[in-house]
This record gives sequence, structure tokens and C-alpha cells, in this order.
Amino acid sequence: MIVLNDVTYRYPDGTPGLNHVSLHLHAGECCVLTGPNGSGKSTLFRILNGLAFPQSGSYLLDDQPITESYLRNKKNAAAFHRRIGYLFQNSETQLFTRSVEDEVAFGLWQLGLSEEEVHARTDHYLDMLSLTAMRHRAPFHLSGGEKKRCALAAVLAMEPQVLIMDEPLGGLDEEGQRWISDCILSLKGKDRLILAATHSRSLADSLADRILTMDKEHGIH
Amino acid sequence: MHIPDHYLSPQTCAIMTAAVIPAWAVSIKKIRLELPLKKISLMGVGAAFSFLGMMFNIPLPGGTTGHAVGGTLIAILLGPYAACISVSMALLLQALLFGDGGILAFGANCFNMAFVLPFVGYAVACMISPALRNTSGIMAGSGTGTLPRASAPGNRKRNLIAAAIGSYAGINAASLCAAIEFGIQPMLFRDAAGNALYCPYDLRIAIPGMMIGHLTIFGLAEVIFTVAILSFVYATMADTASAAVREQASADSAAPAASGKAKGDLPLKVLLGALIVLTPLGLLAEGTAWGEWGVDEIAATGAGYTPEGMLKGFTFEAILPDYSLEGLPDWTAYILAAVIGTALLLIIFRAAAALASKKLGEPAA
Amino acid sequence: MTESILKILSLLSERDLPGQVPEHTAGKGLLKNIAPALRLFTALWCILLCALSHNAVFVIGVLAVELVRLALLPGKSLLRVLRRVIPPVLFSLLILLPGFFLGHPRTMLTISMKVLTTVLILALLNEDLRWQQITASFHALHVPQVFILTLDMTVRFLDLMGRMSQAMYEAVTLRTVSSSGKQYDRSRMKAAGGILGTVFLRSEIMAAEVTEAMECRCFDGTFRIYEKHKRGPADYIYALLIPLLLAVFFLTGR
Repeated sequence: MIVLNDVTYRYPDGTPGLNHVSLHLHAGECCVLTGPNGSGKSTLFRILNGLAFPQSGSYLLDDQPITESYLRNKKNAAAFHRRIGYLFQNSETQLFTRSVEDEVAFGLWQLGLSEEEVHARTDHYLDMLSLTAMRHRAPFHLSGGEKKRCALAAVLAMEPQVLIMDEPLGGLDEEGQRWISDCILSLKGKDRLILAATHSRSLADSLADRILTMDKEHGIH
Repeated sequence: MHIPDHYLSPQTCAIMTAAVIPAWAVSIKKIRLELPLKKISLMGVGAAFSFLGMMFNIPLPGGTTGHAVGGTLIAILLGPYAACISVSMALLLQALLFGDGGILAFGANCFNMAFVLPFVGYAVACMISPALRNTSGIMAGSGTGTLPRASAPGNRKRNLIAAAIGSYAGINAASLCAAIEFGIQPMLFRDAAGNALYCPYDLRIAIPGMMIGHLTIFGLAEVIFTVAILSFVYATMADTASAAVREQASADSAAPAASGKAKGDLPLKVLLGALIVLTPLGLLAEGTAWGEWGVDEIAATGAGYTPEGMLKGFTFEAILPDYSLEGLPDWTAYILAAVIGTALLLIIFRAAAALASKKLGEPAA
Repeated sequence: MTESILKILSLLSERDLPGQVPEHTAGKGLLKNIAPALRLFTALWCILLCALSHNAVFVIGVLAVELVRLALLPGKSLLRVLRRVIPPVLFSLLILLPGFFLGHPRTMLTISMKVLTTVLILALLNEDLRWQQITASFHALHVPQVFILTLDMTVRFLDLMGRMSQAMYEAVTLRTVSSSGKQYDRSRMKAAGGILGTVFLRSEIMAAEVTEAMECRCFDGTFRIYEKHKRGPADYIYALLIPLLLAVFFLTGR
């Protein structure tokens, strides 16, 4: 499904991001990405989400090369982002509307779905992530765990085939971590590819079909 | 009974204002302590009734007119302290927006109609029917619905009689005060030629002039206004009261209380709307109330001259002077004035209630 | 000074931005079944006629209706509307005060009344409509998309930046210990530049991050209508207000 071939990325100021990374990820697979802070996990995710483009190497999604020029086309970009859902490391960044309900519905409106379908999906995912009671609250008024759930609901509502999560348990208490872990586990299977970066050994053990490790040299193995 | 500007000397106005300030201060303090927050917005309704009552002018043979004030009514429903503030707000709006009652004379008008009238009326009514004794008024309830106390049928009749006599006493006490304020002007303030600087009629003329109307027709108007609205309140609140009692006895949730309150308010709002529509009837009464003549009218009333203080005094231009508007027929302007006055009074008191409840963290009305 | 500037910035986070009406009040007024675009157009039409009116009659008539609507609002909504309405009216009274002393009190009253009526119409509209309905109305009125998008993004970023400034303001307040002396004042001045610079840079970064987050949810710069209104008899009846207002405008002598 996802193929990275010898990808190298450097930040505009010259800082190395990724160093000759090659990767094959298949549909239905669940991979956990580990590695020390600063090893390039978030950089890898940015490239996989089309937010950054490597200086060398290639990125293929179902044999389609994903390049800057390819994503400049609005139709291609819409189709691409519909297939890949990304849970940011910092949920605050990901929440930008005025209510939890709007947050979940935002992506659905962008997809051009009908009003009925938007409302139905919104209700379903709010319920799934136990957010129905706070649907009218502003996302910024939520606790850390609630913000994470809200961001996750907003991503899941678009029903992506690929789910990329950067530190899904970051900043959560024990109960919150357990809740999100259980939720992610329930998403496993079918044709969905899940790729999660985490420092949590327990999540890695329970979730991963495969564990990928990034090293300090920004490589992967 | 609205005293216009320049009928009282600035010194009298200052004294009367100084006299009414403690009444306002005590009333505000008492309202904060005793009146449930939800009832503050009802004060707006009370003020609106008073405002509308004052727009219904009634003619007296002899060419003058007068009107009800409703101060005793509000005192019975919400307490005399609430009545003081409500009537004061109504008078303030009338003075600022409609030029009815002077700006400098505002203190004197409030002393008469917002202090003397409701407190005397309330005291007399309580003497006759002790069941009315509640400085938060019979509509204070237990903080949820508009549950009138002393609403048993036997009590009700006695309360209405007490309200009738109390309101009659109140309005006459107020008019006596106004008459005295008028009457002492010629004694105290004269020019070199011996002419009065302000109101030209002394006590011998002012007292009968004011009192005749109020002892007869205007007093009756006040009685009818008070009794009619109090009966209406009893009749509509009785249905809400029994429902509210049942709901209070059951679960302690916000929703039933809210619906009881909403039901209780609707008849009052309907009555307000009906009174607004009927206000142009007040225009049928021609002539000006005793003591409310314009500068151009006073010489013809028998004084023979226009006092100097009236000619040279401060003038204030209201937006809708005398409830009229150039380019609109009188009846339309009158209704418009009634709508604006009523809406503003409701807004002011409801905003005050919402602000107070916000500070205390209680749910607003 | 730093705290004052940050406090001003943090006021952006005050929840009085357009369309920021709690859901329990938005869309529940008497006019909830009327098309938002029609309501917006009628409000703007009314404002235009008030501005063109040469005498007070039309304006006072409109004001009377709006005051009744205001009087019927729930307590919290009432306070919210008053908070919006009172400052511009006071400001206009202040600006026109010289006219009062120069012998034109009517001018001050008439213009202030027009300001009051205009702001009241818009504030009451804002109470009833959600932001999505307001932007959908602009779209229905054929306002260029780039304008609507800019408006939407501006309001969105005002909200976000306001909250960020609020957090920084709290941080500055907590770390500022009351003291005096030249050295202390100099260090505070130095800190002011750093803090304001940080606010600016963080805003830039935040803008980039939010844009990326929006892109990841398929946002491509196109404004989308979030709700479509189904026309009903209530809309046609309400639409009669437009010629009626014009008729009253002419009848009251313009």
C-alpha cells in the first residue's frame, strides 16, 4: 500500500530529517514506530501525509507517486487526504473550530457529503468516542484526554484507509491512555493500515504486528 | 402628578433629591437582601405597568387630566422597596425620553410617586389585611414559580379591598406632597416685584387644585388600575400556582420550574401588550393635568403672568416630547412611545437580574 | 506595559466573536425557520433605509420593534447583546458631544439613535444565527468566495490567537513579581520585546500548523456551504418585509 524508497529529507536550515529510509506497509497491517526523541518519527509522518516532500527518493501510495506537483491538483489532494488520516502529536494544533461537533463535521463537509450523511457520521463518531455530551463545547475547553478523543473522532469520521498517529498516548493520564489504547485496538483489522509512533511499551506490545525503530542517524530498521 | 421643570426652585429640587436618595439606597439594599433574583426581572414588568398606567390620561371636569401610577400595586406584588425602584425607573424614562416630568424635578417626582405613594399605600393595605405583610411582596414565592402567598379565596377578597384603600391613600398622600411642594414656592421664591419665580399658586390654591382631582377621579383610577391588575394576577397565577406547588413537591429539577415560570409570565406579557394597544385612549382626554402646564399655558390658567424662573430656566429636548413625533399621527406616536418605554423597562430590569445572577452564579431568569 | 499589551491581545479570546453563540440559543428564535440569507438581506436593507432616512420617524419605528425583540430574549443573550450595543452608542454620543454644546442636540440624538438601531439589528441577528449560517448567507447573496473565506479564516484565527495570547498573558502575570527600581524596569522593557516577538512568531507557526491540519482534512481553499435551507411559506411571508419597509420609509417622509 505505502512504499518509501530510499527517502532522504533535510529541513530548510540543513538539519537532517530522514536518512535513506525505505519502508513497505501493507493494508490491514498495524505497525508501531519507536525511537528516541529527534530521530525523525514526526518528519516521516509529515512526508507520509504529504505535508513535506523528500529531496531524494520516492513515496508511492498504491503505486501512485506522491509528489508536490501531484498534490497541487485539488482533486488529487482531496483523494489523497481522504485516504490518509493523521492524528497530530499535539492535539491543540489539530483543533481549530468552535465546537466539538464542528470539529468532527469539518472534514465531512470538505468531502462534499450530503447534510444527512454528515450529521449521521458526526453523531456516530461522537458517540463512539464518548463525546456526545460535550458536542457543543469549544475544543479548547476540553481536558487533554478529551482533546485527544476529539481530534481522533475528527480524523476517524473521514473513514481513512490509512491511520497515522503521532504519540496517541502523549500527555494522557493512566485512564486516558487505557481508553485510547482500547479504542485504537478496536480499529485494528479489516483493510485499514495503522501506523503509530509511541513510547508506550504496552501499546506497542498489544497493537503491533510489526515494530519499526528509528535511530539517531534518522534511519529505520 | 408629574412636576415639570421650573415649577420648583432649584433649591427645592435639590432638597427633594437629597430626600429621595436615602430611599433609593435603602430600597436597593433591601432588594439585594430580600428579593429573589428571579423577581428582579418582574420589577421590569411592574415598572412597565406603572409606565403604561401613567399614559392613560383621565379627564376631570374643569379641563385638567390625571392618571394612575400603580405604585401600591407593585408594592403589594413585589414589596415597597421594589416599587420604589420600579416607579423611579419608569419616571426616569418618561423624563429622559418623553419629556414627561422635569429633569431637575426628577427627585421631587420620585419622592412623591416612587417613595410616598408605594410606602403609604403598602402600609395602609397591610393595616387592613395583614396577609399582605411581606416586604418582598406576595409574588416573592419560594424562588421558583410565581407563587402568590395569601392566595386563598377568603384572603383574596380582603387583599383586594386592602389594595383598593391602600392605593387610594397612597395616591392622595403623593398628590398632597406634590401640592405642598408647589404651594410653598410663591412663599419662598419671589422677585423684586413680588411675583413668584416658579409655581405661582400658593397652598390655598395648590392643595385643592391637586387634591380635588385625586380625591375623586384619579384616586378612583388608581383604585381600578390596582384592583383590576391584582385580580388578574390572582386569577392567572392561581393556575400556575397549583401547578408549581405540585411540581415543587416532586423532583427538584430546573425544567418544570422553568415551564411554570414561563406560563406565569405569559399572561402578564399579554396584558402589557393589550395595555400598549389601548394607550391612545389616553389621548382622548384633552387638557393638561394640574401643575403640568407648559410655559405658554400657565399665564392663561389664572396666574396672569409667566413666572421668570420658567422663562429663563434650563431646557431639555426629549426624543419623543409629550409622547408625540413630528410626521406621525398622535395615536401612532403614543403607541410607539408605549412600546419603547415598556421594552426599555423590561430590558433594564432583566439585564440587572441577569448581571446579578451571573455574579452569584445562579441561573438567570 | 507588556501585561497591558498582552491583556489587549487576550481580549481577542473573549467569546463575543461573530457566530459564537451557544447552541442552546442559536437557531431557536421565533424566526428559526426563515432562510438565513433572507434574514441577512432584510437586516442590511433595514440598516440602509435607516441610514438614508432624513427624519427620526422611520428609525424610531424600527428601534421600537428591535427593542421588543431584545426585551424578549433570555437573560444571558440580553446581556451579550447589550455588551455589543452599548460601547458603539456611547462612543458615538461622545464623538457628537461637541454638537450638543454648539446648539445641535438633535443631531447628536438622531445619529446616536441610528447607530443604536443599526448595531442592535446586527447584534440580534448574530444571536439567532450560527456562523455557518452567516457565511452560507453571504454565499447565497453572491458575495465573492475569497471574501467569505478571508472572513471565515480571520474570525477563526482571532479566536485561536486570542486563546494563545490569553495563555501567554497568564504566564507573564504569574512570573511577574512586583518590584521596583531602574534595573527591574530595564529588564521588563527587554522582556517586552522578547515576549511580543514570541507572540508574533508563535502566531506564524500556529497559522502554518492550522493550515496543515485543515489540509489533512481535505480543505482545499474552497468555501463550502455547510447547510442548505429548504424554502417554505414562512420565507415568502418574511420576504414581504422588504417592500413593506420601503413603503413605510416613503410614507414616513424619507
